[in-house]
Amino acid sequence: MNFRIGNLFRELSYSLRRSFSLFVGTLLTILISMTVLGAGLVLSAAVETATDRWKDGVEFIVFLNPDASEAETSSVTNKLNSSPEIDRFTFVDKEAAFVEFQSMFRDSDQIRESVAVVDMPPSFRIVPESPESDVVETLADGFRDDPGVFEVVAAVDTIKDIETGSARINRIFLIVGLALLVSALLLVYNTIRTTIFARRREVEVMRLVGASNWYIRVPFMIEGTLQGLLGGAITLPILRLWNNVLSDIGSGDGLALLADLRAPDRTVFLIWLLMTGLGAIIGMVASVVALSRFLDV
Amino acid sequence: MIKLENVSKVYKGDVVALRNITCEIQKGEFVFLVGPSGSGKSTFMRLLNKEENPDNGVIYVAGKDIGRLSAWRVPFLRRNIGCIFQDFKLLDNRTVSQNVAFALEVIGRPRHVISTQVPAILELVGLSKKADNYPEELSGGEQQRVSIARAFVNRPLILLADEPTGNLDPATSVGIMKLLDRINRTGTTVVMATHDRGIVDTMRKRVIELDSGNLARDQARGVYE
Repeated sequence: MNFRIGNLFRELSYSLRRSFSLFVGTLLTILISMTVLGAGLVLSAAVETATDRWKDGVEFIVFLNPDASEAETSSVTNKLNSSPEIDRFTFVDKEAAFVEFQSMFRDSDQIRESVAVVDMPPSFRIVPESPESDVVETLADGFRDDPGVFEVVAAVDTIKDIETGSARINRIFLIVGLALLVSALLLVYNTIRTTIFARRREVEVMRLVGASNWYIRVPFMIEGTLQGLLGGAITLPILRLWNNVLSDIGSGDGLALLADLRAPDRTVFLIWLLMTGLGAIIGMVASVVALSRFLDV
Repeated sequence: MIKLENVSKVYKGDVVALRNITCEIQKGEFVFLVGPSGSGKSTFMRLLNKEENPDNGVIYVAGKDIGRLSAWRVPFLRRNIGCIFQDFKLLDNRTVSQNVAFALEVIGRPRHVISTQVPAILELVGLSKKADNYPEELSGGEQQRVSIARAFVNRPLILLADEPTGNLDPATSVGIMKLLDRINRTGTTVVMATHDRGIVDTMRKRVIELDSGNLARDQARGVYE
């Protein structure tokens, strides 16, 4: 293949200058579609991370009233001790709950200052023998009406909510992302087609003087692939930002369950690589199709 | 050098461009291809550099059956065939020397070869002083000289000229024909489609006449008629 890199770059830069706005428009479309797809993947990775810590013992929490009496507390303790379905449990008293609360809301002075130790509900963190969600729910229900019990939260409920919620959001991301992907594909196709049209005289001359098919095709293919590659590559800061936003949402509602709604940096990086690769593939496929249809060499 | 055996070409809608053409052109010959518009001259030329394929028959160029040439070898066939056209087909955004150099660059000739061959060919066509001008700054005759320089810079075995004087005045046409004659004398086979009676009658070269796709006449040292 009689290529000289210098020639190739000259052809490419000439082509880019000639249809710069088209190039940028296409690149942005690819960027947006890759961002939406990537964001969906980051979200599901984040949810997985958030729910992962619950796998080693699905818990439910029995919150007592802040003013629960000692008798009420020991009644719940006895009930837990005597139940064969409870593997183990820990008691979080007012002080410990207060410390946890302070750390949970370390970013918000206002909320932290609005509560005192006496306001905090003590709680039992319970690990049941069986992690089956219906077993956990039945067990949890058994404590709901006990004297002194303020609220019973089963982690499974919350996890289920997060999972269904995120699955729903993910589906939307996937549909929107795929629709954008198709439009990106069509845009690259049209960009290359327009570029071929703009340069038809040169292509004609190249053919006549016997330039090899690859010599003629490669600059167009590189242009398409470059659009996809760049569009995919620029998603990195956006995906990182999205991960931070998720993390903020997760800690914002004050549930300890969601404190870690954040994909590991490594995963975000892998998703970025995937998006960049996918972008490049889309760019290449679209330009190859455009070339085979509009470049008769 | 060129041999057609029972070559036919029919376009969509049963438009017969060429019907059962058989002829042979020797190395170093100068051949005029004449006939009214639509008689098949352009199709004849396009078949030779495989821009189109015949429906029937066999075409040999430089001893090779080009119908059996695989797609990736077609560019190599075209490197042996220079083409010039009525509308010159120059690239407006490149200078004269860049236009000529382009033909060598795209087939991967090394830079030092390009830098010696381009000035030499511009000297041959008499355009050394215009090397840095753009096509729009040249007259029609000069533009056709650039186009000839580009077609010949790679020293092809065959030169196909499709009405090269069609856009030029008679005096300028004479200059172009002298140039083509000079190229022919270097051993290059020249096939030229033309409507220019004066040129054909003056040069007295072999004339192949096509009429509605049929070979109507093949005459050595012929005239236009």
